[in-house]
Amino acid sequence: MAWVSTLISYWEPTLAHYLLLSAAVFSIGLIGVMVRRNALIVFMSIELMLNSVNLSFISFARYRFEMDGHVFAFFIMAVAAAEAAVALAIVIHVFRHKRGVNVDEMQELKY
Amino acid sequence: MNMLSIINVIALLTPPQAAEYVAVVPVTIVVLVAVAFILIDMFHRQGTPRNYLAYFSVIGLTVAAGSSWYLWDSGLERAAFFGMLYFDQFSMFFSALVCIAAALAILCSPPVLQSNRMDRGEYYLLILLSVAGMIVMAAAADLLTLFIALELMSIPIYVVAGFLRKDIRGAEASMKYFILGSISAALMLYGIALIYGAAGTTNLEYIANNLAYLTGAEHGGYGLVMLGMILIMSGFIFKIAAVPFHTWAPDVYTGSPTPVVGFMAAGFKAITFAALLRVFLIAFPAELLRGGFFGLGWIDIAFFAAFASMVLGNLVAVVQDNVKRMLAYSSIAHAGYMLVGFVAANSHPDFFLHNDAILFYLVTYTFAVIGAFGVLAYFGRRGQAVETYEDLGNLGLKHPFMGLVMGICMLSAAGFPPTAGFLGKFYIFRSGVDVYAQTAETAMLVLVVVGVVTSVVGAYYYLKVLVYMFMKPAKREFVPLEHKGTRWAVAICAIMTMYIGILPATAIDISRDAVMDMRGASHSEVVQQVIEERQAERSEDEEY
Repeated sequence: MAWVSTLISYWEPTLAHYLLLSAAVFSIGLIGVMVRRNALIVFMSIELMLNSVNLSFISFARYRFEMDGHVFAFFIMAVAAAEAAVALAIVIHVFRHKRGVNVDEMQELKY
Repeated sequence: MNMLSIINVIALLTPPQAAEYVAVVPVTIVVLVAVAFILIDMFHRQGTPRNYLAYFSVIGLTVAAGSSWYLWDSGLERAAFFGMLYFDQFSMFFSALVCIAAALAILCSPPVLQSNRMDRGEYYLLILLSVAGMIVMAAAADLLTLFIALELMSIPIYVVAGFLRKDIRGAEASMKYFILGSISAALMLYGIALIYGAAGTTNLEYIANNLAYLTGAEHGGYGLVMLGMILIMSGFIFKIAAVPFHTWAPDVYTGSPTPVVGFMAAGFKAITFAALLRVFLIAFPAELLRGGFFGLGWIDIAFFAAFASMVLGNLVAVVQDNVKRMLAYSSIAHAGYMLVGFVAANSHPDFFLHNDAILFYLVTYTFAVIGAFGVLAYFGRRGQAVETYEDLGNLGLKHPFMGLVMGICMLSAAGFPPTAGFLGKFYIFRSGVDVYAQTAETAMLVLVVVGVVTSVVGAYYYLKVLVYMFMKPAKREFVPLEHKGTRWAVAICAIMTMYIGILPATAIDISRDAVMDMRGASHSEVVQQVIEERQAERSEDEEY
């Protein structure tokens, strides 16, 4: 069964894999913000972007055997939580006025 | 090892000393006042007037500004708190500036809040927390503190933008601001992650040290650094509301409570320029990062942003009907003028001292814009707030004091002598012309010419405000919000605008000292050596 261990070592993820995954998740979040119409989904996509940044911080930190990146990731999580609290408050605020959270319907302020 | 890095190593190894706690006194005062407001607000019954909190916070902010003034000459250690914050004259300058801006904006606020039945303590609390974030951001010496301070500065303002709950436009402004602001923060954060990956540290000085070893485009980390630098730049460009990340500004300025808009416009621009100068001068010296994408560096991004902001901001402001929206587009144009100063001063290390033009411009802009929004807030009674040009009709003659203040602020924003705005524009364009004269870079001349021409366009819409205020008949009756605080605040803005316009020496000296002191914290020997080598290579290339 030597070929199994060879295959596993061949597929072992490196820094580049993590970075590619992080970039892909970040792009999915960015596209989600631009394409989706529901404000809650938009906020979810923003969380996705922040968490993909966390992933690249952690992978860089592991790659270099340092703790700086881990610390940064914790700070990002804390800030993301604060942002989520404010985001939900804003969504409720808009919902009270509009009876809906579709971002396409926000057309009071234009041009 | 030179003196600077020895100091840094000592700062990294020793726990915070008493002197470092003295240096954070301004931000501590602001935070303590904010926390006190949370406690005070709990013990109020529903319906108790809260406007005394406004005066309380103005006193707190004045003390904070005074303490940063007191710390100006104290000769502090540069990198404090394990190398996380700089306490130099540069950071003290900006901490005093934002404290004054916030105090003036808060002084205009109580009548607007009362007339909208939103007389709550949270308003002052949120603005104070934002000021605390701003003070820290001006002192940030590490990308971590920079990011935390940026969020601390922005998140309260997302809430304040939608503070007038009964106004549907406020809700919309708050939502738009939050979505776009979070995206820009995420972009900037991704940039920070890439820089961390390439340089292995988030400390600004160490980043510069490590970048000195990335020799040219063949190095693996080079692409990471370039991409990260572009993403960080886009985050900054969003916060100063320059093209191409400007679209939030008009909507947010129109929907937010009027008194706070002046603070948003002036404070955010000031602090973001402070952080921009710090990050890009200390961590990414232009010479280290040139040559990747067709020889372009961050200075070219700033060039494009300056050019586009000046043209678009001024031209779109001309066709606006709403005065707040017009001021929003003009703030985009002002961001463009400041970026002209940024491009001129930093295209070459020799012109570093020209950065004082940006600081001086920020001072003049702060007083002009807060005065203008203060006057608009004075006529901001619920249901009959002044919004369009036609609403301004004859107000200047009926309320001569407010007319006078608006006149001074508008002339200053348009850049007429003898107001401060004229000297601000003069110093910005002078630094551009000076750089052109010494290096013969036509790009600089293009920027200056575009700047002068667009500021002539700008005079049209600023003077239109005055034409409506003094020469057109009133269409509707507007009852102003009689309030002493607003009158004092706008009077201070007008007096400072005239004072700086006539006797500018003090303000210029202060901004120059601040910039000079920041230079002290710039580069280590390795970085300096690499920069000189690159310059020599470039001048050889140009000879052939």
